[in-house]
Amino acid sequence: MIRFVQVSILCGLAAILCPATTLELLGIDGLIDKSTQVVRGKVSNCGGAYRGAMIYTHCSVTIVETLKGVPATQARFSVPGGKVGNIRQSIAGSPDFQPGVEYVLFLWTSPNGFTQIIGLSQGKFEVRSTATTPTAVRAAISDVAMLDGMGQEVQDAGVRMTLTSLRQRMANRSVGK
Amino acid sequence: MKRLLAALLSIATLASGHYSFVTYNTRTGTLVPIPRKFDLSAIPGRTVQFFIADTAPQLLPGDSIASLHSQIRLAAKVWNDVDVSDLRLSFGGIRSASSPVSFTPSIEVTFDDLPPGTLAYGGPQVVEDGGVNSTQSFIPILRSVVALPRNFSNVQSSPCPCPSFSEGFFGTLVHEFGHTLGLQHSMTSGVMATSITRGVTKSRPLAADDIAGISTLYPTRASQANFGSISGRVTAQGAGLAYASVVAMSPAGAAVSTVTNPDGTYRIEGIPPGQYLIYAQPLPPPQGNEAFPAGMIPALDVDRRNIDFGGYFDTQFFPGTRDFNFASPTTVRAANNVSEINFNVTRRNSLTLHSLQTYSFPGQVAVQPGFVNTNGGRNFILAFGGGLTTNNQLSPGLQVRAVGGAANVSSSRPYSQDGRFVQMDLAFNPFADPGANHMVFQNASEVYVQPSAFWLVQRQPPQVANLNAINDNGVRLLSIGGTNLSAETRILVDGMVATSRGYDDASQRLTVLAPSAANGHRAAVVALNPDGQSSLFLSGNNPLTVTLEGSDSSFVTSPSSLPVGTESMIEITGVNTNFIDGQVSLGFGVSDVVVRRMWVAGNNRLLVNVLVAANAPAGPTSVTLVSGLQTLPIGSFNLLPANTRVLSLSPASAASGSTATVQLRGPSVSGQVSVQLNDRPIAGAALNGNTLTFPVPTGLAAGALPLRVTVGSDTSLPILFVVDPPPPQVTGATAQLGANIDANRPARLGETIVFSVAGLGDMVSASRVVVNIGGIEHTPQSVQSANGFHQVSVLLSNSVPNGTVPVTVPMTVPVTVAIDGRVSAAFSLVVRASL
Repeated sequence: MIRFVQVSILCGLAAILCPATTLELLGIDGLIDKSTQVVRGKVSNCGGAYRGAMIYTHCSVTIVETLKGVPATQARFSVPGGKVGNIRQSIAGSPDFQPGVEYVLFLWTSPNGFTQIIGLSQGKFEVRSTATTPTAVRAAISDVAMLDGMGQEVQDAGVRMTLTSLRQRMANRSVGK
Repeated sequence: MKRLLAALLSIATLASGHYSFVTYNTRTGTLVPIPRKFDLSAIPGRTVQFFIADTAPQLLPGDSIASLHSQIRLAAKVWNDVDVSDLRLSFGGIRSASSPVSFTPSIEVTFDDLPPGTLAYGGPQVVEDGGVNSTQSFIPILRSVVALPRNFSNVQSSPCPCPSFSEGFFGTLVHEFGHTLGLQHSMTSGVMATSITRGVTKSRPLAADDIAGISTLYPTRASQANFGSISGRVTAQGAGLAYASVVAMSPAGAAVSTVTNPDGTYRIEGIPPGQYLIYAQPLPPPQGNEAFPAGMIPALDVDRRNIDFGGYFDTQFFPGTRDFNFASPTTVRAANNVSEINFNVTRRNSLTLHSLQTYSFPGQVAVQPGFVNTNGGRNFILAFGGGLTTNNQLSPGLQVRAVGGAANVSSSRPYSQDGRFVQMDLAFNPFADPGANHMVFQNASEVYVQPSAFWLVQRQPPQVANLNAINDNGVRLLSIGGTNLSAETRILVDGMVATSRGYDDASQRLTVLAPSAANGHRAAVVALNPDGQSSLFLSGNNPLTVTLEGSDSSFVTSPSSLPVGTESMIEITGVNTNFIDGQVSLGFGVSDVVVRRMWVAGNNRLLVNVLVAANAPAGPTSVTLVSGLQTLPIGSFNLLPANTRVLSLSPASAASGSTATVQLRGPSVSGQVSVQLNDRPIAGAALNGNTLTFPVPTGLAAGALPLRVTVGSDTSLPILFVVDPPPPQVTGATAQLGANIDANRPARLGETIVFSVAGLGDMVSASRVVVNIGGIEHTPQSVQSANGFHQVSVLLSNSVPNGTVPVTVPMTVPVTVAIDGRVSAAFSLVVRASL
């Protein structure tokens, strides 16, 4: 019974809630597995549009490397919230993008063809070039969220890993381009 | 100029940021946060309607659309039922892509392709600059949207998959509705906190902070009269600090907070009177790659640019101490502000101690926050989060203390089953009251305060052990057996609060009316106790279910159309609808049509007053009628083009034997006036302009009756006229300790007087009651039912006439008590000035 209790505890820890946004933590392997496309590139041409009642911001990413999915040079994706005309909808927890900055994006395309970043900010990594090697960085999601649904520790919430390591990790997950 | 200055000061005095979406219109001087909120003055009935998209999401096995919709309605009801908020929410129906466009601001609950890892999001839509100018006090929300998954199985980790009845999903719904109303995250363990630190449950879904937040955005006379405020400034090295969280925390349980303005000033509104420890604490760091700490939407400056985060600092209690034992309690009084509660804090570069989760185990399911039964065996809670442990050992210098004296942390240690958790053993004060308790975590360099970290309760959670469906001469009942059930236990059948038929002590069973449902509908049965516990604490997401009986149902509306810009009674006749008062929802699929009031006139008969706004779009719309858990086949309704020849009536009420006043709307009419109430002619009606008066016959029972008016050749649309119960009657007054108020013991200004009042009716909230004492209106502090009458407690204003000074001649002043416009005869109260 003690073991059961322990699992119950851990299972209770895998959700985090952001303002206006309820998120389930995905570790790096979860991001890899659940994404339909993982790309590295710069984001541009963002603009808002209604999708039903909700405003989404639709962006382009100019791809320099496809880490998962069909290789491409461009991709479109959407994040909730944004501006249409003079109407703004604020969705806290939704990621924003800086011009000129390179990102690794874990994208998910729904069966209806709607592409978004997995887990909102969870699937957005900023690429920072160090003296030796480019590194994909995602700020830590609070330690409390460093467990997955089975109570296993997620090693890489608050991720800083080289692109080489990320490629290797993806290869280990048996995904190809 | 003086008047302008006074007006500006008045605005500044009232302004509060709380945790809402705000804009500032000045850079210097007094910074007044301008929140985004619904403009209730522009919304009929001050009622914001919410609509549910007709998309059928893919649910988890065993779940149902009926259950999901009922949980959504229940979550909205949580905010609707806050009686110190002026905002009301009502279900507006099912909307489809082809539904007519609405012009009245509303809330849309939609289902979309949310990516894996995302359970919900939502927020308000506004005109970006909001037309804000220096005199506008808020930016109106045009529409708010909640997006839920089209496929719930995309969210797979525990506590999800989230069945619709679960604690986790319900908290999410209430949270998202809070955002749609204009609330952001707060850091005070209410429903608007992150789920990491959330300290509320399905049984008690709102904390004092949530109530303060909504009542600050949508204040009522009661909230302004009964709550106090605290103001001050947070600085670091003399400079104001933006976005510091400042919290008023009562050792008795309530915690209410706000964030500072860009110049470090703050004002916490909505604080229940009492004694508070005040502390300033930094927002927790952003999670993942969120753009802002605590995932907040930053405030906008005068140029509509984001105002930067002010930075992290060392948590500090007032006055200037990191140890709450050395903090000075601050007394908050109703309708008063305590100013100059200032903090000069020390900046720090980062935080390690923050965002802690606390758990307990009433059974085999982890419950957050920790609920600890003082009469049980598991006197400990667990905590998890940053800064608590290092390599499975407590972080150096870690101390954990409970605030308030109800319990002490007798020991802290790494949890034996997993050293990343901290186990905190509790020793209880034998005289401790049940309720929420706060904790302070401290390591070598940081202090972190977690309000409502655990709840003390005096028994185990309720357990639903067995269920029997009973057909009692055609009335469908549920008999519920289990443990820790009582007459105070509420039973949820999916998201429907079942009407109680009583609790039998001998058999320890509760009997409730089974809600109407589609035949064969399987519903989760959940028991909620007033101490905050739920049967889900023991069952987890595997509660007992009941299969409900039902029959094919349908309904028709009469009339089936109304002209735009009118108000009328509509009669709904159903087949097998099994209407139960309080369990019926009706919406017209467009926010410009408002159900003003609804009466269940029988199992299959419903009478409704409906307002069609002048800006409603003419054309077909849909009617959604929900009885219990059953959404009936959608009906059709037509909104006819505006017709200037149609006469309609405003809804009105009056007591039997009194004179009623009704406003006529529509064409200018003249001629002989005749009135028919419940199809009976009423003599003595008179028309003055558009104002009609007529005598309400004596001997009528309280209720709703159709009213028609004919003026010359014009006959009005019918409206339901409400025959009020007789006016209330004040029968006595006592001081708070029970002494009768009379010439020997006059009432004193500033003390609480308790009036005994008969005839207020059922389900009375303080916000509906006005007590006029010597010409000064008072909002009750509380209204409590007692043996067929009510005890109305009032803080006697210092403005009440009170006789001569020095205090030798008390004077008698008239007191009237009014509810919903019904005013009592005058009661004489002897008053003298305070000594």
